[in-house]
Amino acid sequence: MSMARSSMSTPASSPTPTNTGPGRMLVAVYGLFALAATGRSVMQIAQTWPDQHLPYWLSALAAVVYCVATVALARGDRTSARIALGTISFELFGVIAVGIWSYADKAAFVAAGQAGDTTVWSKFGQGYGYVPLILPIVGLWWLRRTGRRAAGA
Amino acid sequence: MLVPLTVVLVVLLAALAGYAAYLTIAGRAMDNPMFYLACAAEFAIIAQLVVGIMRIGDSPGHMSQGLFVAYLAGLVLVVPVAGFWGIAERTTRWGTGVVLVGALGLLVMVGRLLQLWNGS
Repeated sequence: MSMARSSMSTPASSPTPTNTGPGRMLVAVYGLFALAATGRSVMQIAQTWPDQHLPYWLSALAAVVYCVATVALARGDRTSARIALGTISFELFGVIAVGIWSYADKAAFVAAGQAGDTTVWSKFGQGYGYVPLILPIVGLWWLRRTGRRAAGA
Repeated sequence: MLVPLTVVLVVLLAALAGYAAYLTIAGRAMDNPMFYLACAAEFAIIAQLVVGIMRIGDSPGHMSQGLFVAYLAGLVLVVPVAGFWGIAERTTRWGTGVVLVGALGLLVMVGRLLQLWNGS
């Protein structure tokens, strides 16, 4: 039941899948963000088509990242963990880059008088309670934790 | 949006989140009270979807109606997915942990829905 017991029951030689224990909650959070970001970007791009607004495409990029990370974390094998590491690292980079960008060049994030022209990652995820900033940090910590147990440390 | 319905929905979701947090911390799997609570929450969400679509004409003119309906449709999905996951994971506490994540996410999404409706 406890985390300590579940780690003891796992042989040190085999990796701890990323989708076990509290990892399930992480998968659930990623799934929720995949759903939210996908719905948001698809709707925004569809409604403003054929106009191309930068924020909507950044949200679409975020949506792809969340979808890949959800599947990679949920699969939980060794290759998936590597894919998750790459995806979540990119996610952290994206949140920080878009966060700085959204403060530096506010004009790029205001498009055609549409309401709510921010991306999931604008202002370091302020619109989503900074979860977009915290989530990749938690994700990387979880990958490191499950990966370290895999190394038999 | 119908204010009383929104209040009922938020109360149900908060109760579901609180109970899920309790079960997760206590290390218990999903039980009957949680199942009925989740069903009640889902029922309120479906009512919100119907009312939201019926009353969409009353929304502020600049509100993105497509986005609003997309949010409502997304809301409907979360409880069944988290619920079936929770039922499937009856052997560990993390099944109820997933329901907790779902309920908290729904509370945030309802908040976003209200923001949209109120025109921000």
